[in-house]
Amino acid sequence: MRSRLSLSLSCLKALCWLGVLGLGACSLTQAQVPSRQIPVQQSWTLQPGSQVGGFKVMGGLGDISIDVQGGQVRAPFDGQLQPTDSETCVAFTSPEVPAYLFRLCGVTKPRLGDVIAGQVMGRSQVLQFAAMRRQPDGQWAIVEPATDMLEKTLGAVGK
Amino acid sequence: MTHSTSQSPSRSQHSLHYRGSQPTHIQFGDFAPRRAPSRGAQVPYPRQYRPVHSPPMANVSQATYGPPPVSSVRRQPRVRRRVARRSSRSYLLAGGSMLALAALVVGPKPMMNRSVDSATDRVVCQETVQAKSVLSRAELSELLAISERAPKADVQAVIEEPYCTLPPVEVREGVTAQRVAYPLEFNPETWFVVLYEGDEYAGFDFSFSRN
Repeated sequence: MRSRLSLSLSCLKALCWLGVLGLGACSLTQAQVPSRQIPVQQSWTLQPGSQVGGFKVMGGLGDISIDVQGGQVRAPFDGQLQPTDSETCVAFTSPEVPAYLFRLCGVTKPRLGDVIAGQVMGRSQVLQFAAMRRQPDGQWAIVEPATDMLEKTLGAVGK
Repeated sequence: MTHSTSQSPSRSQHSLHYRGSQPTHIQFGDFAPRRAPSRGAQVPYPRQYRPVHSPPMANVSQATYGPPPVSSVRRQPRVRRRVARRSSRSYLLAGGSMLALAALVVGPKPMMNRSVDSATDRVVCQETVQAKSVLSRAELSELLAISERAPKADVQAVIEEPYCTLPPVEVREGVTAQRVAYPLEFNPETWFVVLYEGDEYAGFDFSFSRN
């Protein structure tokens, strides 16, 4: 009985620590992630975040708009999610896919920082997805994203 | 709680409890606590106790305590067992609520990780090309001098065969990209990943904490 008691006591302690660590981890993941500048090669006037007629532009030329209806947006690869200058947009990059960057606009409560492939990065009503390819001068050119990539981002692979 | 401290109060409880109704058992419990109490007195008492207080616990306590072998009955007088059952139940309750709390706190992350495997797989080597291939500092600095969109041959002139190839990936619609990986000679856990599209060198990145 003594062993049962000490066992349950140690269980309690472990659970307490687990809870504390869990809370700590939750707050740590939302710690400051450096903002990402995305110099876009196609310097159009209206881009996500700019204003027109007193209204905010949600997507620009080159963005694929997807009606996600509050669904999850997932990381297509292991990578990093960073904030951008625009409040509505985040940038996803992966060391496993060099020379590419994905700009996602309209993601609510994004999980910034390191993410692993398939992990939920946030939710979105209407997702504005732009795939960008690195140029020799350091700028990013908007390119057409592959359907497979979009499916991975929407977590629709294997459905 | 030690064996010696728990024994004396429980014995007095035992005697108080039965003083009015069952005087024969007082003597039995008081004078011979380490001997087997009569089997008839032992069995009905827990059966009355269990359903009244907590019917779902009946199975648990049945499994852990009930019907014990004769040897254990001799060591533990029945009242001490009641105290033990109560404390273990309260700890179980406390433990359970803590578990629920912990599950709430840490639950979402493992749930997300579980769904990760079904969605996409982590990128690993598809095929090992040259197991001993590493990238020296000199090679690395030469590589960094090559600009994106350069011919693939320019890159291959600088570096030898890669350590391995990663699975081809389609990032841009209609274009399949090839990826190769080179562990750094001075830090093998860091990989230099190169991406080609056709005969064009698209770019590189460093992948950390690789095996």
